Amino acid sequence: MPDQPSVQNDAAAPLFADYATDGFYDEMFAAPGEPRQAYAALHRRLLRMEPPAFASKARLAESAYLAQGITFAHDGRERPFPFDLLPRLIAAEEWAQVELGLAQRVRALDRFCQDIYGPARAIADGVLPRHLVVTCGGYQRAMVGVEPPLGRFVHLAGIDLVRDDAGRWLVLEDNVRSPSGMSYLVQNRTFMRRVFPEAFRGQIVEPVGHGPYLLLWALQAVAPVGVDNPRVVLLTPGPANAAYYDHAFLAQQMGIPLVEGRDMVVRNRRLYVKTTAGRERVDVVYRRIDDTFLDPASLRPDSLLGVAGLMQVVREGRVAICNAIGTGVADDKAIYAYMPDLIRYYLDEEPIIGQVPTYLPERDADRDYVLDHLERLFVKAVDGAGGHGMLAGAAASPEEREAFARRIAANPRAYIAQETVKLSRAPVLVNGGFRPRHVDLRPFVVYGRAPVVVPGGLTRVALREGSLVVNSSQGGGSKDTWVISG
Amino acid sequence: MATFRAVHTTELRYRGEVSESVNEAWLTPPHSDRQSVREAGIRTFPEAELIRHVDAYRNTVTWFQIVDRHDRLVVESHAIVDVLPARAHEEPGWAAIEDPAHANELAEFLAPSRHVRWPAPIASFADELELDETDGVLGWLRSLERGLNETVRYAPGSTGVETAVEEVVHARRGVCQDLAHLGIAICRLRGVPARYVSGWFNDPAAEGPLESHAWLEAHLGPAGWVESDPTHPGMVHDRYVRLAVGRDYGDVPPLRGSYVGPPTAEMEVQVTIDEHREPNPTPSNVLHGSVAGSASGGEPDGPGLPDPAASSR
Repeated sequence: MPDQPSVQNDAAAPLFADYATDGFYDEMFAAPGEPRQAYAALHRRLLRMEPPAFASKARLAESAYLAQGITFAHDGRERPFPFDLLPRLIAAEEWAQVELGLAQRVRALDRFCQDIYGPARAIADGVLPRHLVVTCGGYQRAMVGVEPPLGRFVHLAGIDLVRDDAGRWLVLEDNVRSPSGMSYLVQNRTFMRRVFPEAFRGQIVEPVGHGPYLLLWALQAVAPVGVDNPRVVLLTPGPANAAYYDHAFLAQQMGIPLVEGRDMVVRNRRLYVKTTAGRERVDVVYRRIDDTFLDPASLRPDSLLGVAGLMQVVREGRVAICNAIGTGVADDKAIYAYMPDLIRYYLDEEPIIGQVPTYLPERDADRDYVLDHLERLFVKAVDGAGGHGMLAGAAASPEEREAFARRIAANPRAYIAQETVKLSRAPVLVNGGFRPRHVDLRPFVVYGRAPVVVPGGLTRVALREGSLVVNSSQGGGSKDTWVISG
Repeated sequence: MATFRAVHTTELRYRGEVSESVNEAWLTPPHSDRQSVREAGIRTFPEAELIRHVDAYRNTVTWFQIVDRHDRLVVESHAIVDVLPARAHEEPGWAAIEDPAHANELAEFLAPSRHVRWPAPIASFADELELDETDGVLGWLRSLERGLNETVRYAPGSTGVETAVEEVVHARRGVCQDLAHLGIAICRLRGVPARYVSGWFNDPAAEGPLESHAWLEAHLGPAGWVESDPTHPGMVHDRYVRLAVGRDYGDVPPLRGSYVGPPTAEMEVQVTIDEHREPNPTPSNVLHGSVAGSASGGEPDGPGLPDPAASSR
């Protein structure tokens, strides 16, 4: 956007030369040249830096990433996960509120799963229509009547947050199936400290390196009743998976075995892992494979990734699957539309964090509105993940909008539409200088006995100018995220 | 009321030794207002501990695992069941299915499912049947039952468990399972909630083999679930034993599972069903003018057989 007013070209701060802050909420600047309070110390340090010095640090971080083999598969190719060296900062007071809101939301998501596979009170009480639940792709009939240990379904959640042009936090998406990315969050901090240690000076930055231990603590907490020293394993589909790096890193950090389905077996309706010392009982499975692949006998016959008979062990509550089978129902974007009501219903609390106004074309009035306003809406497939199957109405051509209109009319249940949020922006290093790019935030919430949020989260960056899609499987990058308490 | 003694035997022979076999069977008749179960049980060879649970549709499912090597698996379900005729229903009229609350409540029986969908060929096939809507939804259901029976030839062994409804429409032949799926598809397409019923049918006309059977039922508002059997139209008699209900075959296969080893060489399903007489507990197959029969199919993927896709890995 070259015609926008910009920060005055300050000879002392060429890194921010021509940096535009208008039109969107900027994470770093309240106004041109005026950093927000959390950024004050970092901004002063950057002003004293020569651009080439910053750029060389950025290159160092990039090569460190490559050397570590931190990659993400995108379009079938392994690519490095682009890392932007300038961290995204959030003031601790502000974060405290966000944290409460996240914990609240995850409690409600967990209660929702418990309810719909159990008594289904929310349906009976008319909070949401039954048809919406039973037509979710992620609704697993095999879980009806099954109560996992502690009744817990959601053990790890990745709740995607954005900030609108007024700086308000909004939930964009709930990910409670098998959210990935915690390893990137931990590694970003490690590289940040290695490459740019002086940036931390004079600041109190909340640590994130204990994220995997928080997760392990939650996993241990949901072991079946009577198990004192639970054995936890991480079940991966194997090295061919896009997120294998994440699996391997987390297993190593937690000190738990990284296993594939063929390494385990069911005997006498209990789950065992084969080891060199014989079979060892497994109490908790942190699984990174999809629901239906978990058991070829009961779920998906052609699965080669699961363990035959696992579903029976689950039914009897003799193993905890994390997240529980069937949590995908809460990922359905049509269910998202009901989350504020579900929070009020289950918790008797007002939602602390708002969300994006959402329309369900399967409701007649909503459908008319959506079809009439496609040019300003964001349309998403209800089961779409990774930024696929969506239409950014404002940026799309009339033909693309027309094509989506037909798809919506033919299968309204399959889509939702949302008002376009003017996502906040943060400075990202592009060709030696900072340029504003849209960002979101994926914080991680672990839920064993009580929900705990890993401070900050993974800030994702849309690397293309103007792009609102920040997903890592769409070629986005990431930033270290600091919760600053002074 | 009739009382039946039924034995449903599935035998799988493998091309060598297999192990790590895990299976689920929907082979236990439930109590209902149509039938009361005096006795029901399942046996396997090799022997296995049988674990029961109830699924999302209230069917009883039997789970078992056989770890040791074997080259043959036999699963036998036997039951003695008192059966009442299907109820006669009053025509509830089309308004019965137009209530949105009704549609919400029965959503999963209105939505497409694995074996039930209605692409264009199904819709044009339904048009071609010229179903009579003038008498109301019950009348329409009966004309659908007859229409399917007259249009699609019942041809044992002509299709497999994974045969799509489009193929059945194209070939104009199929087995009871295909007729049921097709009938369910046309019901759902018309906005009538419908589901799949798996069970046993004591066919008085059958001279040769009997097989495990499938039909459908549609929910007609105040009339409740109304059964319909396109394979044997006009089922107002007491020759049906119900085993399980689901969205389609995929929810309630008589037997499915997985194992490690070579592919299945042969599968054989045999259903014998006799009228059972109180004073004489010994089953007889010569009562009432030969209502007995036994089915044995060598077809590896005939109806009611274990899902071959579920087998070897």
